[in-house]
Amino acid sequence: MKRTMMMTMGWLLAAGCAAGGPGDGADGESERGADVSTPCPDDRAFFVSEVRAPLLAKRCVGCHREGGLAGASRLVLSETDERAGFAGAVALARESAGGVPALLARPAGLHPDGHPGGTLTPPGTAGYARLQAFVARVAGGDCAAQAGQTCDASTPGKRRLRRLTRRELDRTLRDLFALPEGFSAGLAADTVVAGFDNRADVGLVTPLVASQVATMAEQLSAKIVAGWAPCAGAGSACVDAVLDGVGRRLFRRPLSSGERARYRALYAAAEEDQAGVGREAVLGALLQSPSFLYRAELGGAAAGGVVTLDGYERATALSYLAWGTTPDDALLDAAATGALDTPAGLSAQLERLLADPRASGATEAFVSQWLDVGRLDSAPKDAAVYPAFDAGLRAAMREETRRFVDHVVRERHGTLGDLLTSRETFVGGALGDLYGAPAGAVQPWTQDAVRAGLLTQASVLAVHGGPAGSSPIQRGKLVRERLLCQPLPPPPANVSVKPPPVDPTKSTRERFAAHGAVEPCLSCHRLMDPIGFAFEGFDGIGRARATEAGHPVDTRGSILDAGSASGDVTGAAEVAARLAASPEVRACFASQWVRFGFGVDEEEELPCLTDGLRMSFQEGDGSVEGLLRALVATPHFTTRRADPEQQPAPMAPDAPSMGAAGAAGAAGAGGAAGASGAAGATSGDSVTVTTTTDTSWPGGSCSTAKIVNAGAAAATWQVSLEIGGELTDVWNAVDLGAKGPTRAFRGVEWNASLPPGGSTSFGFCVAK
Amino acid sequence: MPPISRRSLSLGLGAALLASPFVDLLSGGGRARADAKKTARRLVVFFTPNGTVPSRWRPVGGESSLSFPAGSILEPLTPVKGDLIVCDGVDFVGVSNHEGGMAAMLTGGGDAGSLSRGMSVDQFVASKIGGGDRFASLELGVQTSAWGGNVQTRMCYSAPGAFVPPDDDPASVHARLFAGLAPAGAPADPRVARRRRALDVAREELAALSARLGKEERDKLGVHLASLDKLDASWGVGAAAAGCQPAPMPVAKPSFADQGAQQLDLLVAALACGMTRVASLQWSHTVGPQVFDWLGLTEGHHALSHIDDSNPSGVEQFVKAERWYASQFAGLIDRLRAAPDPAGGTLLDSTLVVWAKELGDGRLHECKSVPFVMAGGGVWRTGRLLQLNGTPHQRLLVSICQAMGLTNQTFGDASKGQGPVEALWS
Repeated sequence: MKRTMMMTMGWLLAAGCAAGGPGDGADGESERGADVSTPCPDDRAFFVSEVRAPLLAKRCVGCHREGGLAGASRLVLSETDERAGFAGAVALARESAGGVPALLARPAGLHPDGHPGGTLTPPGTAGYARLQAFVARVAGGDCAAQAGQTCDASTPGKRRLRRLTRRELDRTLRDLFALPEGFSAGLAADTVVAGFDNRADVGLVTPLVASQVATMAEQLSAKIVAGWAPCAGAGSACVDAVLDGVGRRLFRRPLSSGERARYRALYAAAEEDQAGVGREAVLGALLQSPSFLYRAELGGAAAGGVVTLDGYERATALSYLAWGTTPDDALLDAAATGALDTPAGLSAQLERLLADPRASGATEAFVSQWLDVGRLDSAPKDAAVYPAFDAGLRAAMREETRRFVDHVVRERHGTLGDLLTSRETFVGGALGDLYGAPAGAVQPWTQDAVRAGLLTQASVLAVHGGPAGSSPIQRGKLVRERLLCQPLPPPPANVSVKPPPVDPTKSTRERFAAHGAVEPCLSCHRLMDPIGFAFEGFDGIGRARATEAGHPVDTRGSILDAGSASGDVTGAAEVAARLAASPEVRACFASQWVRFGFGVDEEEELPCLTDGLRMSFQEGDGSVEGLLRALVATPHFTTRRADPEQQPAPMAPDAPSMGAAGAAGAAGAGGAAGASGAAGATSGDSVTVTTTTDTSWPGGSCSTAKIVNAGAAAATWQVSLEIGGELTDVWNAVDLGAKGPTRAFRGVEWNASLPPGGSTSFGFCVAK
Repeated sequence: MPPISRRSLSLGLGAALLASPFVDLLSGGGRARADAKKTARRLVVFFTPNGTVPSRWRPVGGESSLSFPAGSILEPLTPVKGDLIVCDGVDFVGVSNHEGGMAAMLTGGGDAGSLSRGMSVDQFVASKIGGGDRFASLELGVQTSAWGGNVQTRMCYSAPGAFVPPDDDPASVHARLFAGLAPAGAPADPRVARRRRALDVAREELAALSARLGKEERDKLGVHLASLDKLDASWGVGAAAAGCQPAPMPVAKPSFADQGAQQLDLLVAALACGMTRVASLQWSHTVGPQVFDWLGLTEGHHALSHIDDSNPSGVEQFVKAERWYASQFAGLIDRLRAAPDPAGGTLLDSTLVVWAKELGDGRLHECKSVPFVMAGGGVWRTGRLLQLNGTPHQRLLVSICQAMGLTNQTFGDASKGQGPVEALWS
């Protein structure tokens, strides 16, 4: 009863706003944040703690603020005033946009007019759920609506299979078979999400990957087995030796008896086909096995909603986290003895791994993606402007960064601050000339005063430089997005920007200053360019310079809207010092290690754990190895949430619509409540269905069924259709199964009930 | 594939008990054209990035008096203009910017609830007509992957958010197409039986692993299994089709232009050999940074694409790069015209070629008047300039499907536009 009343009130408020028009009377005032009436006493507190802090302040305030790109929209937040934006959010929650509240529709990419800032919170994400809960409160009066589970850092993430990335596959096979570097360069590139290539839910074996892995397995197995001693014993002994040796290393665990039988049978069949090829066939199949290609993080039997990862799964997770490659025999042996089942045993192995030179593999993998150094070889440069930028120089740049990171993290047990400010580096080969250091073999070298730490290394400066000059935008963007974790929106579309003509007599700084001085560019470029100006002491490949085409360089800049890192700076070393002292930068670094270390969207899957790690890394000594230890100590490292009991999921193929349906469902529920007296459990004469075949091919077809309620009362519909084949898919309806020659369907949550004159449609496909 | 007739359509349709579903189908809505059964047999999508400069792209003339002004972007297509339909005024409605344009270009903004289920148009067509071919589809690329796979660098989708990555390596493409391909009439490669044994082991292990998983991870293995089936099918034909001339083994070359030429050769060879009927070639990606130094250019392509009209020499450099892309498109058309179709005529006669872009005016980051140039196929009258005045590109995608013999009336986000672009059939 209460719910229905509140629904009505919300609708009235929205209608009043529409009638009055924007800026009219009291509503206009309330939109500017004065007062707004909402159903539940704690709506404002809910907004501040459950919507603004975890979502709006992180992802929206960059544009939705005074002077921001979306400063003229109805949602205007403030970085400092946590109450700002409440009235606007309430108004948007009460406005329907294509059947979905505007507050949900815009950032979810569901609004008919789009969202210039892109799709940030699609249905199914935690952010969407937060907004949905807010809408249910202020537009639906559901004062019990919650944004999700309360924060519990002990809650682990989902059970996962993590496909080896191209980089992991390359290192794994190189380590196991002593192969040359880069043999896997031809493999399909991994999907990169939020900067990293190892997001578990997008690591798929696509047709291209399957084909390339098959070819690689065939070629590699022939090459490797050719180097093995002939097997003199019985066939079963020959295959067992392969399975116990390389098989255990490839699967990162002993093979089960069922697996052993499978490979023995393969061996026998191959030998029967052609004597002497059995071991090659077995190795070729092991290399294509899902047990090799995916790292399992599945655990055993569930207890209390949680599963525990076994020793081998822990060994694998530990090795790829700390080394970026496969476990060695010692680590697998530790798993076999149960040594990894205790925190102390796990910790002992972690310390062994961190001290091993192979640990540079993991930090290199992280840094090459964190700062995009991995793109060095494809960084476009004009050979006429930068003739020195050849493969030899790039290799020397990469080597500097690799050695530097390994030195800071492993040899010095250093901190994030050290990575950003330490001048003790390693220079050799062609890089010596660029830096004014001795050429020849790589040797320790102390950077001069204009440089400090990673951000001033040539590898980073070259990747974030232009083809023929520096790039204040790219360098500022790197700091803003990767160091401060403040993603920038795409440039505004459909705005005719006429920056002043390029004047070749002016310096880069002068030209960019002009471009950053005009709206609407200014609102975002002020966050990038002034940081990038401090890097103007370096050209497009990272060579230090005092002049640019006759102009003295000016390295004054400023960091804006970056919390305690904000302030004026002169030169890149000062930027580095400010970032090194910033708690925001530390928190950002911790978030990215959760993302990279666990292969997840840390805000979606492990928000509480991530918050905890950010805080402890901010408060601790900043040690990078300490951060790895903290990751290993989390519940997520050793346990997973058990899967919910599998239920028949009629809407399973349609996840995005499910979310949208949930949103529309609120409105639908109100309508149904009003019409509940009609109680039309099934359709009567008033409901008609029209079916259109949308597409057909020799093996089947897909159709749309349109349902119209022509009656005077609301109706809950159910239809039976002769579909002429085997049902393979249905969306926006629930399949009720075959009834005689027909198949019955009913609506899903949001379209089950149709108001008088209302219509809906659903789709299905059949195979013949 | 035989053209879909009215008869097979009506047989394929179930009768409803509660209403008559036939009415809509056989009247206005359905494109069961008794008089227009001609369909193209193959589809090629050709992509180049970073939008255009409309004033330098736009052809002149009326519908049938198409011509390209001197110095314009499309001028290199003059020798093949009789094979083209230039579409001006196609909009990606409600979409803007690099990422948005790239994501919507071939999917029409479809999601799991759309008829096209979030697939890109090439994958959708391949899922309908490619089942019997060695490769349901082939995706080739030229330097698409230095930034990894993401929304900016991928254009083909098998499902919402699920990329179908292109193969950027001509040598890898060559191996997939031609390694072990025996001449017609020769016995099948004995290695195929061995490969299948390994695949069968992987299938059994996938099944065993699936049993331990929840839905999400099971779906992941479902994708894996489907990939193995596609791989298996690609081994299904041990011998080359009659008249198939394997392309020469490509020599590794670092240059963008050379790699592109090799991929064009391989793509056309795959079509000529009957290995696939759906192929795509993706040059770079949106925001692509390549420096066209072989043309004497010194700035990256993306940076050039944002140069304003107040800097004419900068715009001229972008036009130079775009003219180079146009000449590559002309090269594709020439290659298709030079290859005979085993069913008669040339490949061009029966292959619909679509040159797609992800932005209109790149300087404005907008997806209005996105340039589309189509060629060949034998379905539509060519040598034409169509003024489509803001037609939603979903309708162009529907048209492509229908030209390939499909009957869908929507593609992607049906709320943006439905039905084909009738003018194409006029």
